[in-house]
Amino acid sequence: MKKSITLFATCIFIVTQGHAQETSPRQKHVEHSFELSGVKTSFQDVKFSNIRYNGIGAGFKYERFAETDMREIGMGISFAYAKSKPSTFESDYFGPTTIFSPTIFFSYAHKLNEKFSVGGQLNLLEGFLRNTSGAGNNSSYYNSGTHLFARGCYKHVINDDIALKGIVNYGLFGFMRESTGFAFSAPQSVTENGEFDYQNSAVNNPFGIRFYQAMPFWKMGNVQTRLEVNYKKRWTLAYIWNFRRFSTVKGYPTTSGLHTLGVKFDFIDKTKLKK
Amino acid sequence: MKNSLLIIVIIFGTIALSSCEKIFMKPNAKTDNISVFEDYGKLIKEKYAMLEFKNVDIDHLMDSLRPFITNDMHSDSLFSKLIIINMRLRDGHSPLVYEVNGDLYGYGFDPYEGYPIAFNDTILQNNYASANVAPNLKRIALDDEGVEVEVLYGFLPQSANTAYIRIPSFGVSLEDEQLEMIFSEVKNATGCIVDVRGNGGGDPSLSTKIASYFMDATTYSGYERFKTGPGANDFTNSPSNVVPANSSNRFTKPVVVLTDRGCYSATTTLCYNMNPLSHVTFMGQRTGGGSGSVASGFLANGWKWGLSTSEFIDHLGNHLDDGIDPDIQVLFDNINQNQDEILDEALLYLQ
Repeated sequence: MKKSITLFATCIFIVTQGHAQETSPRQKHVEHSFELSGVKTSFQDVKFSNIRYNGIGAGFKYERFAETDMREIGMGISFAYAKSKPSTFESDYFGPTTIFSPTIFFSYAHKLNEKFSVGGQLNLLEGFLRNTSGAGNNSSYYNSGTHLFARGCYKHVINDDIALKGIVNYGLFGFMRESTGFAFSAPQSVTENGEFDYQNSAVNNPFGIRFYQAMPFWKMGNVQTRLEVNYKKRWTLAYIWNFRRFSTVKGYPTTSGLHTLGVKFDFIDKTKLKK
Repeated sequence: MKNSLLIIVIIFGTIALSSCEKIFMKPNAKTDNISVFEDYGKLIKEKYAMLEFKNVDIDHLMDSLRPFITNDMHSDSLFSKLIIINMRLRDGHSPLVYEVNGDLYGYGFDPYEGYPIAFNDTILQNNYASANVAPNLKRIALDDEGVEVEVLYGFLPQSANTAYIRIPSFGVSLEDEQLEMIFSEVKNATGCIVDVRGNGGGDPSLSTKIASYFMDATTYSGYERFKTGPGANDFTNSPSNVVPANSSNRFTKPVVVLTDRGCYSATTTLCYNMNPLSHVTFMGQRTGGGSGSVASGFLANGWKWGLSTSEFIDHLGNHLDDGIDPDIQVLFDNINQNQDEILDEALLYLQ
């Protein structure tokens, strides 16, 4: 656990140091954008059932993105909301689910050349909340935490009007908790460590850090991909895939996928030349 | 040409990714009768925490039922077979329910079965607790999933020194200020009756908080034995050390807790947390039990299951899922509409 936290802290340090090591840029491009999107979700928590849940919804994202000759820095916030249903049966009373997924993120990438850049993304707060109708004590599910990704970016300019961009974030480390354990709606670490206590509010608090678990990349598959077609610098059509798979109990994984097809508009798009 | 190729690769890549996570998921649950039967048996085998205590050999039970399960049998027949498994658990926390047009049908263990009645709300209201009869009894009206319930506290007309607190449900939101109000009202009494008869449970955190008002020191009440993995021995114990309420209104004078078979789930939590206290006496009938924490989910065909995924062992080593016997057993005469024998006995005991 201590090793994992040290690794996590080191990664954050490297990412933040990247900001400080910049040499004098000659040009700085800043854009502020919002993105509206349609969302498609899939979810399966094998601890409680092999039933897959599928749904659709909508998303919103705001991002400030700054780019110099040397680096790219982004920060922003995004929300996704969806309604889903179990794939094996139809009922208005049992099974309909609402999903809410907020994220606050920071990204940094160092440019290797005009096309490629590499760096990291820190999802400082990332939540995935599901509320399932009729499921009693298991109605509310969440996983929440902080995630650090390695980031790779490829950009290809087709002509003055159209550019393509692909981004892959690969999860290196997560510090998170999941609301369900093997057999009860409390984090697995709570019951496994014999710490369940009705007087301890941290047991059921999504922000109760005491029961957060380290999830390095060998314990959790966490991938985010983004493909963009940019038109005349202001408009972007983007497809995003967020995938996560992890197990707090061996052989009983939780898997989720979030597909987003969105239109992004840069409402501020400025380029400054610096000496 | 190169650009067109790139765009084609991106488009096909996007389409390929659009259901990519399903490659990593386990195969979807199957809805045929045999699969549903096997899934339910697997759930009980892996998650149910009291197979040993309830003396249920789930493998043997499944083997004996398996020949009768076919994929062309009617769903009612399948349900009746699953209920045979369910009935063996004798556990009100482990129902099996299905829904038709918004109406729920199913089976759940009835803790009253085989036990005498020990509570009648009409008798209580008409003779002891209604606003007309008991002007010194205060009331907090609360919502319990759409049903209004009243928490009563204060003094009955039958005794000016013995306080009375009635909590009909823990499925309510009782704020800290309201708890302070209740215990501030009764703190000068010489004794206190806590009437939880017919209280089928709700939030165990609330019942633990109420129990903590009757303590003056941290109290070990036993341990909760959680199922933490699929193996038969995958359990971990969480000890229950209840910390006294941080209040000047704690009540540590003689207390009588009135119980019956309707005391279930979170009310059992209240009982096991108060049971180690030397100034607390239990009176009435055996409680209903329901000591385990509950998990719920759905079978592939939409039937909802619930299962106890833990059990509670009290400070004396007793399993509590079949209830707790009172210290003083009192019979209740439901025909005599003018008297609550259990409440009268408690008033007499505390005088």
